[in-house]
Amino acid sequence: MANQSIKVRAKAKKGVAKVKCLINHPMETGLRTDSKTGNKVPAQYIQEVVCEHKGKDVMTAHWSTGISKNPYLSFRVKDAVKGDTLKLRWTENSGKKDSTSITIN
Amino acid sequence: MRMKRRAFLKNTLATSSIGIAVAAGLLTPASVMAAWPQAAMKATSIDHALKGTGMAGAQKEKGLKIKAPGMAENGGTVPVTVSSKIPGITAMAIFVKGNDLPLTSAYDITDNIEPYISTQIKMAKSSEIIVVAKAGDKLYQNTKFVKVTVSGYAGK
Repeated sequence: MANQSIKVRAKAKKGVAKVKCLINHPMETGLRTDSKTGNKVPAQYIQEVVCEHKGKDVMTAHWSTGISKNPYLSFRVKDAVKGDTLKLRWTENSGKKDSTSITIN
Repeated sequence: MRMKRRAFLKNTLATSSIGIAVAAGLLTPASVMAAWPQAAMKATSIDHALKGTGMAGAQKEKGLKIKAPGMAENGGTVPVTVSSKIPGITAMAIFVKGNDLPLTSAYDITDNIEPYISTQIKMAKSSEIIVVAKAGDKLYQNTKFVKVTVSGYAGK
């Protein structure tokens, strides 16, 4: 399960890589009630998404529960060429982590 | 049958441990998240959220572009794209005025990425989206009103 939570595509054009990622995550606010049990569903959301390029953290996103479930995030990395490696990692409020790395097309 | 009972027990245990982890996470955020702006993220008014991120008192700037639909049917996923040509942007944040927790997200922008972020946010009701960008010691902000038909966020 762990390795499938992040889907990333990156395409380089004129030295700028357009990165698009989709993360498979419920982003629970902690307010929703489970219709079967009547209990509150505990908050479970991604707090931090970090993108690493050439060994440097180039982008850090701090998220609250106000981000949609199965979050989508897109950004553009400078000085990136085809073949470069991009690493993405996220951390949940519970401390759970996941990461992936891809090659720029 | 026995297997199912085992699975059930396991699941209940797993759920409760998540709950404990969440509680622990809320109590000691600093140890888990070094830079996560706890105060701003939990702020329930737009003023507090802006202050919490150090982004209060920004001047209006049209060069900070917000791309979002004028009307969103589903408040659960409102696509927002923020971009700008202002040089030297180091941070950007997206706020929704009408949400119980106005700060949806904050981004650290380094020299190695363009000031461009595209994501999807939750909106409780028709409201203004406020985007603030920090460049050097200057703050810029722009707003866009989005009409929401079905609420997609009840968050505190």
